[in-house]
Amino acid sequence: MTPCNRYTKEFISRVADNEVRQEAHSVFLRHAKTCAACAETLADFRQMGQLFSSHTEAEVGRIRTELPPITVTAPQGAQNRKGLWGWIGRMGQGLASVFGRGAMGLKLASLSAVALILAVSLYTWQGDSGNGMVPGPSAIVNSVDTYGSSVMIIETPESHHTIIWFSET
Amino acid sequence: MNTGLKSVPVWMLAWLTAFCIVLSAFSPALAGTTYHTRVKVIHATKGKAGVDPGLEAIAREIGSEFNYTRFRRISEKAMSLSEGQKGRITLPGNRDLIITPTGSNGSRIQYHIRINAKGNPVFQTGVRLQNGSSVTIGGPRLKKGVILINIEGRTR
Repeated sequence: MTPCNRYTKEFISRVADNEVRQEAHSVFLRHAKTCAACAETLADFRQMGQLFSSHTEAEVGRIRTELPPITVTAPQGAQNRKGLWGWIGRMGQGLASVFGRGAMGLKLASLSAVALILAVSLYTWQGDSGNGMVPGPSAIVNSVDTYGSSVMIIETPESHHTIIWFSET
Repeated sequence: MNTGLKSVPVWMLAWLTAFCIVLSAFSPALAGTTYHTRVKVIHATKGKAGVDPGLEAIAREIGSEFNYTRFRRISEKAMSLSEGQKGRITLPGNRDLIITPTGSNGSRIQYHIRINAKGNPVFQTGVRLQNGSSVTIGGPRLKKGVILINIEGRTR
C-alpha cells in the first residue's frame, strides 16, 4: 500500500474522535474514499477508540459490582482507648446515654451547647473587665462642680495617674 | 391527679437545675456587678519627710506635682457597692465624702463623687475610672496641709 503524505496520523486521529471542523472532516472523508492508506489509518483509530471505550465501561461496571460500599465505622475498642481521644469517645458515649439518641436528646444536647457558649462568653466578658488595662489616664473626668472654687486636673506623666485638685473658698 | 410536672423525667429536672447553677456561677454579669471601692484619706504636709506604709505610690505621684513631703494615713475604708449604692466616708474638718458607682463599660467604672462640708456640697465630680486603677482628689485644707482622697475601684 502506498503511504499518503497529505494527512498526518495526528489529524486522522482527531477525525476519528470528531475533533475537526465539519468542512475539513468532509474533505478528508472524500479523500479517504480514494486513498487506501488514509482509510486504513482512520479505521485503525476508530477501532482503537471503540476498544478503549468498551474496556473502560467494563472496568467501571466491575468496580461497581465487586467492591463493597464505603462505610465509616468507629474502630473496635475505641472505648478502651487511653488518652485524649479515648476520653472524648467516652464523653460522647456518656452524653449520648444522658441525652438519649432521639430527637429529644439532640435538642437537649443543642441546648447544652448554647448554655455552655453563653456561660463562657459572659464569664470571658466579665474577666476582661477585671484585668484589662486600657491606655490613657487612670480616670477621665466627665464633669466637675466646685461651687465657685477653682479646680485643676492633672495627669502625671509617668504613670498617667489622674489628680483632681480643688481649692476651697 | 396527673400533673404536667410529673410527666417530666427526673433526669431532665436535674439537668435544668444543674444548668441554672452553672449559669449563675459562671455569669456574675447576670447577677449584677459589684464595685469594690477602696478609699484612702491622707493628710499631706510640707514638714519633715515621711510616708506611711502603703502610701508610697500616692506620695510619689503627688510629690512629683506638688511640694508635699509628709504623708500620713488618716483612715481607709473598703466597700463593696452595687450600682447606684452610696458609700459614705467621714473626712476631717466636719466633711464627708459620698461615692456612688453609676455604671461600667468593662474597662472603666463610672463614679459620682461628692464632698460635703458642714452638710453643704463643696465639690462634686463624675469620673470614669480605669478598672483596677485609682484617682486622687486633693485640696481641702487641714491644719498646715491638705487632705488627699485616693479612690481605687475594680469590678472583680
